[in-house]
Amino acid sequence: MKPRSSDAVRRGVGLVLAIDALALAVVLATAPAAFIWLDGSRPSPLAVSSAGASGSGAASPAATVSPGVASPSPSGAVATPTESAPAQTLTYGDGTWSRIPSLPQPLWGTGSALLKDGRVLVVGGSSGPVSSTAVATVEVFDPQANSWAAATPMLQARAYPATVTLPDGSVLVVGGSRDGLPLDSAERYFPDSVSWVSAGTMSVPRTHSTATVLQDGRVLVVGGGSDASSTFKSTNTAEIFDPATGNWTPTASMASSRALHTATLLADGEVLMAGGASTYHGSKGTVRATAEIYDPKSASWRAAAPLSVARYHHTAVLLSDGRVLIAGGWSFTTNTDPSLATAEIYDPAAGTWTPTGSMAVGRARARMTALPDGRVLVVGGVDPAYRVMATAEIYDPATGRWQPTGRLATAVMWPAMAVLRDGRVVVAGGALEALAGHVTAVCAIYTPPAP
Amino acid sequence: MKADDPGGAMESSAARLSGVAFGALGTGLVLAGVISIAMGLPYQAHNMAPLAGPGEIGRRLGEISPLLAAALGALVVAGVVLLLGARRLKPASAAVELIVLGAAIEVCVLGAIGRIGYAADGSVLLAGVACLMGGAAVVAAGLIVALARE
Repeated sequence: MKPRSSDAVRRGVGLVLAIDALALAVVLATAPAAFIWLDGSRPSPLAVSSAGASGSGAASPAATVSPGVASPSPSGAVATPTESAPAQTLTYGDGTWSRIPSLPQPLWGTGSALLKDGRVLVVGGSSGPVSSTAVATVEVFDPQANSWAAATPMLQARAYPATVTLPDGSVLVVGGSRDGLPLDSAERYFPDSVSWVSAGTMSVPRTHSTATVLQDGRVLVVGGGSDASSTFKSTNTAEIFDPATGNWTPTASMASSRALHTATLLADGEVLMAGGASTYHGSKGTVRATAEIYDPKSASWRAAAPLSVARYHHTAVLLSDGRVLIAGGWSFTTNTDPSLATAEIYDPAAGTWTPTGSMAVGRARARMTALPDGRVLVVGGVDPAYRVMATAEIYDPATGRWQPTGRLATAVMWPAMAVLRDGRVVVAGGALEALAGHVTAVCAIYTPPAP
Repeated sequence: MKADDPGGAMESSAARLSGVAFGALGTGLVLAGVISIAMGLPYQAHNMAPLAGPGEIGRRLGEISPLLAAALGALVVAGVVLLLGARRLKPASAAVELIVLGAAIEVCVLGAIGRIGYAADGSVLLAGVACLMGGAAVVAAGLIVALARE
């Protein structure tokens, strides 16, 4: 066969090069195509919205508190949205998650409180898996301006503090831990002067304790990890802070020591303690199914009916009808058992626990809060396979059922969470994985669906 | 191609060379994307926490298996490309392998896109896009190699 001419060779090679160029163009075009496809196929449509809002209702003091969770304001006046910085809005079926500016730094295990002027205070927390990276920073979110602003730092860096808003509008931050050691110090933030003042020291150091504003304005602080060693042994002691005098007074101790429990102020002024762990270091701990009730009038404890299962790292809220909803958590401290999806309700009138609908998935270290309309929102947490979730669910006490209500842009464990005056919910930061090796600064606002 | 057709041989060599280049590009993109996602650097996937260490691969196998499969596919592509460049593999066979591997990589990445499509801040995750580009490059490599007439 006669060899081909040099022109034919050039044409052949040119053809290959042309195909190469075409293939390269196709491969390069994959990037914008993927961008456009991913951007357009988020689990929700993207839109620009005005995320700010102004509230008109009066803020109330926090009454039902797990560490780091601000309680909702019962004043549910819906405000007119005002112009603000645009935010991405993610809508997944019912309920809307809107991106808001991120925290200045990634944080989890923070404390949060709703200030009387409708802003949200986020204090302390940790930027890493342990409290050696605890911070003293304080950030304030202004819903109207849709922005975060740094406030005067705390006197003490602390992670996992208990935080409550007092009747006078100041915020009490109690205990927590730093460098692996529980703290006995407390401090008080005065929004008007933007200043922190020492609130004395408790009789024992406490981390992962609870603080509850009693009906007379005093604060009941209960349990928590108190051992300075690495066992994180919890205490059964309780003490009361009087904002009027600034003094701490020991009160009766619980029958059982507990940390990572929940405390809920009941309608009659008593306080329900549920679950918790004797210690939460590795497999050495015992998780409690017991519950106890504190009566401020007699300054005494009495046993309540036990939970159906032992729980710690669970969540609790007071329902609008006076009952208490408890959900999720773990039953063992082994870090291998799956998180619980079950929920149960305590009826103070009957003194009994009744199972209610289970969440779609087990959640531990989630955040839960009551919405002004009586429903309950639970966000993030650790699933049964020890993955941190971005999903949220909403509980309707009328039906006893949980419904998915979308997901955040990022998975979160123990973010800061607070209910705004207009009924929306701010979620700030949180850990991205169960061991908190990675932490996020991402924040979002949740707008609940119509009941 | 006939042995006495130098023009065809040159075309074949060009096609081989192009296929090798595209295959290497695809392998690099997929491996870089998977490593980036696994380490959470520079951005974390919104719904897949970075691996704390190699020990986590077994514990989180169900979660990361699509990415693991894509990475293994990319490594096989690297092997095919090496053999092709060394003329130890016929272009027709290599073409089929590359097309199938490229498609498999795309399927794996798309299967995980619900977890890795977006960064923790909600933006599109570049590493996920890189993986998709890598799979496309491998498919392109297979199609180009198919042009080599040997």
